[in-house]
Amino acid sequence: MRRALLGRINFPGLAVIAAAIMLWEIYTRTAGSHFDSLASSGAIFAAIKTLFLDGPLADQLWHTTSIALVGWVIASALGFCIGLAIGLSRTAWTYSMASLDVLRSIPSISFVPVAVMWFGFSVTTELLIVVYVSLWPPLLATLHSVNSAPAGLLDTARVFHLSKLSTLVNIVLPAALPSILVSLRLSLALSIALAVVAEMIGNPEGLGFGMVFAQQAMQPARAFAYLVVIGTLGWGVNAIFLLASRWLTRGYESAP
Amino acid sequence: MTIVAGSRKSRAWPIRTGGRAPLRGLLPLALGLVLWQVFAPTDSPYFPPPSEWVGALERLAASRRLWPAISVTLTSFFTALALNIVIGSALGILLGRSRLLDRLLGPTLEFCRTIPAGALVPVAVLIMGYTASMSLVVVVLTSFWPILLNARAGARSVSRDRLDTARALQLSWWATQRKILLPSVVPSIRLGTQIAAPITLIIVLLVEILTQVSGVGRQIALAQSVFRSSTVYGLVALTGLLGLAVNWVIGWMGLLTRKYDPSFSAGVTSSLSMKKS
Repeated sequence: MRRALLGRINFPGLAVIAAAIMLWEIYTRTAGSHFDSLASSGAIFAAIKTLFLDGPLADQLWHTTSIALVGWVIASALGFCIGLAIGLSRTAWTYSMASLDVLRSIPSISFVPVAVMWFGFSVTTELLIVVYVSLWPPLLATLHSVNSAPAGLLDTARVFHLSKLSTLVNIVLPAALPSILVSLRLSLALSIALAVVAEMIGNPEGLGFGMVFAQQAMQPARAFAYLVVIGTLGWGVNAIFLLASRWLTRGYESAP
Repeated sequence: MTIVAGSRKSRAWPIRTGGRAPLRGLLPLALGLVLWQVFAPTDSPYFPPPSEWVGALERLAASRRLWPAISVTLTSFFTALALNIVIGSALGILLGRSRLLDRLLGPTLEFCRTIPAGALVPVAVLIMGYTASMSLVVVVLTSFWPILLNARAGARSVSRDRLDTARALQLSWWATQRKILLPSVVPSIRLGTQIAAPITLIIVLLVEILTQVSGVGRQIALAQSVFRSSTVYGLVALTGLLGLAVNWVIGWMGLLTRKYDPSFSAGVTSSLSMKKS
């Protein structure tokens, strides 16, 4: 197990990242040293350390992560239920799908100012933005995958005279699981991205606010530090979810 | 939990929803807007009725701020999308054809891909200032990924038969790229572009809202900051129209590349196309 894990680590790829960090350090100390707006790798890591130990970074990280996760859970549950309701009922589909298509074509980011207008600079604004945007992927994935359950499996269910509820629980939902998991991963990334944006515009807290603050104070090392932290947060959450969804779909032919 | 199945086609359950959603589905939206129009007072600070939105947009157009904003937003969108297609396809094909490069750059790209556009804006502003090129860089860096991933997948799965054919016909390297590789990855690039186009529009608006440099996003943010709610709603509806228009244009551009589809026509793709694709 341990050997398999070691073998799967992409050492050359990690070496490229290390080389990029080194090159950035060299560039910012030589050719790029006259740019005030750049910060060397060392300065960025030092800024992360100071911000974490003596600054607000830990609290901000907690704020952004918790809002993003809470919003993601609410959005996933809502999206799944709405998607299921529309996917299972022809009446519901006929009388709502076109409306959903129109709403969906409005770029979600335009709603950020609307949310700020409704709830001012508050956590409610941030949560509303996160939920609205991360709602769409699970909604659409549930809807589409419920509607395209493999015909062979449905025939089997019919042969066994399974009830509708039983067909749904034992056939349709398991078949839909992989694509729903992919959509949940997408909406997880969206929820972090939108939490950060909401903090920049709508709620002066968290990583997004810290980053804008560093930018307006002309502290490039701190701004870059926030960028690294936000990137790592997104990457880490994505990796954890990927591991979890591989484990959930371990019996499937095509895991996400 | 009650499950309502279509009464006539109860055998087909869950329902199959191929094709377009019927226009009857617009009813809830239309009903909502009508109720909004009827019940909202004209001077409502939070929920002005739709007729006020139109009026607000007309005032914005009269003060010569609407059309320039739209044209700026659309220009940045199409410039960014063109760059996305070029950069995304080139990088994607490169990574798809070279296992070594893919392995070397994989983790770096994986990390860069997860950086949200919003987080890139402050750093880009520090380096490049509030400029049009800053916004273009941010938009391209965060929205070309779907094209890259799809082009990479397409380039990886170019059929071995086709490449062997090229070798048998002793095509030059350049001819192989042009006649075998490119046609094989065009459908994937098109799919990637269809995914990337709405994202590109969203990020263009995002940068405009965050930096308030120019464009429709700036107008929305300005209207919100002085609490002109009807202008905000009007502009949000307008971005919806832009979104629809963009999807329509991308769909139409997709039709132009249909001759590369394996299922479209065997005769069009020249004598090189294999029977078994």
